[in-house]
Amino acid sequence: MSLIDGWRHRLQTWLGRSRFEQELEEEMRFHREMETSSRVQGGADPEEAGYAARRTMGSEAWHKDEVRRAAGLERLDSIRQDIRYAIRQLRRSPGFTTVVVLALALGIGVNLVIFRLVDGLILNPLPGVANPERIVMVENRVLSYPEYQHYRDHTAQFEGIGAFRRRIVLAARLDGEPERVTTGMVTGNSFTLLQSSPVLGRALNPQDDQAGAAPVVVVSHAYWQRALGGNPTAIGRTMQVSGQDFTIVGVMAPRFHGLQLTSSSDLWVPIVHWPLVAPGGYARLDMATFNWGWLTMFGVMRPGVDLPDAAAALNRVGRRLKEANPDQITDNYELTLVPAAVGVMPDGRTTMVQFFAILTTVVLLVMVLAIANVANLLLARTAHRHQEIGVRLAIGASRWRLARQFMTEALVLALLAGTVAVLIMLAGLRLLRGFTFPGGMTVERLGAGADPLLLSIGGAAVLLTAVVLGVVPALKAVRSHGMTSLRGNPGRGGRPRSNLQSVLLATQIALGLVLLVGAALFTRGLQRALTIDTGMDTGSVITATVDVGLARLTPDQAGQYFSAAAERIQMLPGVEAAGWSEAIPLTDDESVEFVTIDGYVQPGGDDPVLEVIDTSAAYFDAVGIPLLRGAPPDPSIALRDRHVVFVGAAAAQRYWPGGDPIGRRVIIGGDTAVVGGIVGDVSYHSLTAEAPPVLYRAITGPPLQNRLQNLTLFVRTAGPPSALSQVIQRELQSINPAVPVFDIQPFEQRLGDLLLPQRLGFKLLGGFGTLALIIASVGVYGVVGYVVARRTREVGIRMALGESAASVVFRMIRENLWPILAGAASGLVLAIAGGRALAGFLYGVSPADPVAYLGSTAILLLASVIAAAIPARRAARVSPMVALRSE
Amino acid sequence: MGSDPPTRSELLQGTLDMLVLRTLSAQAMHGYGIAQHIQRLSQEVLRVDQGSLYPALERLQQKGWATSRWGVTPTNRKARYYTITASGRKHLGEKSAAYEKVALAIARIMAG
Repeated sequence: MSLIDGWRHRLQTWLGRSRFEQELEEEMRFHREMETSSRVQGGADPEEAGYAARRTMGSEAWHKDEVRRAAGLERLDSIRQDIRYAIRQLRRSPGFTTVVVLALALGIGVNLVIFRLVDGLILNPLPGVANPERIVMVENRVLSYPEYQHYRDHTAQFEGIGAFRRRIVLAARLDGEPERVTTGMVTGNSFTLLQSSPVLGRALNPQDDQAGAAPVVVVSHAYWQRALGGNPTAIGRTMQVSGQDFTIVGVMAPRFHGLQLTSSSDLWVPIVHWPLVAPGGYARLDMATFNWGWLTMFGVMRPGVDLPDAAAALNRVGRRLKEANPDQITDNYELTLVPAAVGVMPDGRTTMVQFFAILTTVVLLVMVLAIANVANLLLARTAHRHQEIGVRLAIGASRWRLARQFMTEALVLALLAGTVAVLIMLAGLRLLRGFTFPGGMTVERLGAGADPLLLSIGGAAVLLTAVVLGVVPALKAVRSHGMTSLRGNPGRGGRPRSNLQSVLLATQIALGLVLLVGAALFTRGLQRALTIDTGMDTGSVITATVDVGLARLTPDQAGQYFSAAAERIQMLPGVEAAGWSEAIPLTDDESVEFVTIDGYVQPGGDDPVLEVIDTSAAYFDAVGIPLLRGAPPDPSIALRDRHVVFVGAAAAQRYWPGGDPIGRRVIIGGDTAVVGGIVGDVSYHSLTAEAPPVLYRAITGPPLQNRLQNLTLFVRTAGPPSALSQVIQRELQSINPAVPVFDIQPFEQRLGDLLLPQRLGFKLLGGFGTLALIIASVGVYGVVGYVVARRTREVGIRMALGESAASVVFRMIRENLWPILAGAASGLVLAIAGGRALAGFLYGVSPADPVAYLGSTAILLLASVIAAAIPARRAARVSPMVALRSE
Repeated sequence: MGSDPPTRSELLQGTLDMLVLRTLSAQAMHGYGIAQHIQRLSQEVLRVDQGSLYPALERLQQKGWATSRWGVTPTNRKARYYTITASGRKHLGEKSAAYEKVALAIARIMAG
């Protein structure tokens, strides 16, 4: 009880300072009056009594001070004094303060942004899921629907087993134009298993996943905001997915994106409705066949069950299932389980983890660089204040008080920097908001706000910075000697610069060089990538994608549509060639088939697997793939003669070595065809990989029969490609308005998206490289400036004795050179080591690219020399008399 | 209770706190009154000056052993009155018991 009262009193005193002072004054006055009146009552003269009273009481001011000290106000006052002094000092050198605050704020702020991204994508990849550690996924195999059902019902070690199909792009329509949405097909129990609650409406439940259930969907938060306006009336609305009506029953939480890492869905649909929405005709088979795997299975382990137990149990069930259905399940398989947080998309995730590891390292480097720079500047500045320190020590300040003063200054700087850092972080996240990572995850879905975790990390960073920056000058202050400080020139002619400063300087140069080299490597890589020969001539090509699946065209109708489109668009003014293809080069589209090649037998006996691309007659012309040998496709058959195929040069080389493929037979999908010509190779999947063997098939025939869905039209234009986008859209829609047309954009733009990591890396590293250069230069400037200033007297003497200004300058630069060179050397070593890590992101550029290294080193050294020369020249320009007199 | 013996000023501080609390345990008083009371009862042997008294009163409030309130004296002046609290009484009991033990010990030694 007493403690609470005591603290209440303390707070009242501290917060109500003026009232405290007022009451103190009144109390003193009362005491004085009582002393006076008691004397008057004893018969003294009132005025005399007053004087006597005052004399007895002594110095009131002193008593008041004692009370203030007892109240703990003295310490409060001295802290406030420290802060005010610190602010005043900082305001006196605004340039210094701005540089320091900006450098620190950038370092901290950028780190916060990257941390948010890393947290969302890697550290905490399953937000909105209540029990991530008990969720496991099957990693090595996709299962069929009947298999899933069996596992679900027979494995007691799990609280529940769910499944989902990898996300698929479907056409969805609310009121207006159809748009593409990424859709996740999930079992009805998925949301219950994940314990993810919606923010609006309800999630899917097992009843929604029964045969005959009403078609319902749950939408993602982002989709709700984007397409439904964030309106609560979205619940109950109808939308069409693949032309079928679905009712929206729920909206999920903002950061929830299911179990697929690095990608996210707009909608979730119960698996039972797959036949309704699936493109193509196989969907009914999907639901009933044992042998057709398409589902990723996951489950929630019961408490007490660990991963090996669960895996063993699943495999027991699997074996029994196979024994019971020997005809239907033809391969022996064992399921491997992994924790859900690790994920089943190893490739995408590894690349992303790598990407972020690099990014985080870079950003941390920048921060260390910034702090080293600031520390150096502060050290230099402290040295300037030797005299001030000497005076303060001489008049009795304790060393502790002095040290506390310096720490307060560092703290004020750090707090300022922290505030600006938060602003930078918010701005950075807002800038990145629309950015999509490879895989479809957007920053938006990660949640771009400043949450408590992030803010506390920022706060910790600020405090750490303050401590690091404050301790060194404070220590120096505490250790300095009083008398020599007063004289203002300690160690005259001795070591020009402390060891610590040299080390800091070398560190700055080293880090700066590493960042510059990284930037240079990325620049070169990007240059290379942009000029690499893709095998196509992509300059004036515009693309448009259509989805005939939504319009539910029969194969004949689809064929007519494609033919008509190809012919009519070809005849538009400004169009040189227009061809269809079902694969877009340099994307993930992939379609492989077994091809029986006459006269070629693959070791192992199976038919070889080639990439098969369905194209129309004018495709090669449209995209600029040269015909190397043979006859061009017959232009009168718009969708091409199905009995003629074309092969790429690599395929020709591999499957008809030494011979001539033209005229030879191949069999694909039951259709027999003859090779009509060889075309140039195209990098279909990546700019660095070898071109795969490709076979170009006609669209008529098996592709149409199998309900080809999405085709992309490639149009070669005479003028700039974007000029024709409206015309093409109108033309396509006029042929059949029910067929939605998407993604009308110049081909080069699509290519640009592919290079996004490189471009981003280039921008970021380029920016950081420049930043590093500036920071390092400023660091050199600061240190040299300090050193030179301290030796002004010496400079004056030398010049008075006849040394030339140039010689003075050169000597100053030379003396400062060794930490710069040492830094550059270590920086080079670090950069070479680090360059290996970047290797995967650099196109065709060796991580030890000499141009990048030489160039960066040259730039950095040049900048350092200039930065060192400026103060040196300034010192040399000072008249010797002034220099001699200065102290 | 602590490991180091109390310093001289701490002894005096502690004693003053005890005297003030004892004074307040009888009735609430203002600062001047407390000083006069101690002076009178000790027959002018102990004189408390303002430099010690008011800081002591502030400390007592910080420790929650006394509270203060502004009131009016019989002569119609505004004055700040201090009152002892329950925990103050408890502390007073402990302190005076300790003090008596010490005084008794000294008396015994002096008696030889």
